[in-house]
Amino acid sequence: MDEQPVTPDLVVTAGTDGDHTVLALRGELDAYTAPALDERVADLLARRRLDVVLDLSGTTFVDSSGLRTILTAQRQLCESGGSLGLRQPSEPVRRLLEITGLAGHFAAG
Amino acid sequence: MEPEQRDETVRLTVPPTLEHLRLVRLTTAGVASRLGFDVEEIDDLRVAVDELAGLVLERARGPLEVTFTTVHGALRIAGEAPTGEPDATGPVSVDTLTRQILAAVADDWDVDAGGGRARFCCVRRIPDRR
Repeated sequence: MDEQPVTPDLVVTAGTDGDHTVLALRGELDAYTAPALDERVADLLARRRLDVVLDLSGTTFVDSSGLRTILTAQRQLCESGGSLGLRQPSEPVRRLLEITGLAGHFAAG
Repeated sequence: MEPEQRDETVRLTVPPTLEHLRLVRLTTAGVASRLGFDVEEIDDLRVAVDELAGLVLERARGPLEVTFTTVHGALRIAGEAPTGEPDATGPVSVDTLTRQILAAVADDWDVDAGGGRARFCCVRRIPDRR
């Protein structure tokens, strides 16, 4: 397990589940912390780790910046032949996905 | 004799960096909780203020001042920061995703720039739980 505190507000933990890389986001994903997720996904793309699951069970807050980052990650991974799934989105994440009509846009991870 | 009116305005000033969005959200949650908003409503308010304060902070060149007041049975949260662009006026560009979110989490909102300052306002009715 590779745990990286991005800021005191967000900790990203990388692990594996079969062929998938699992990034667990614990804390708040906002305009300040979202670039760190961008960097983690760019690193996975560079290493051709293209099947990714975001574990959002510990994500206590997400805003439009966070959602945009997740959407961009999904597009980049899919364009490279990979995939992005969401695992156990927390209530705040689920609420924002519903508000924006994106609840059915992501595969379950 | 009229009862004395207490000014219960809460004021918060934060440096002009996105790092301080969290502090604005935390204060929002504290004020909203005191006014009787439930957990989901508080989450909505945190999102609303985060989106709007984020738009202002992107342009800010000086401290963001946020005030929390109650007006006509509603919580009004307003924020303002200098932009260093005295000639820039008019509405701040807000993309579709952010508009969708704000429509769901705030009863009314606005964000604009002018006179060298950017400002936002967000209103949500205080729930009547009687």
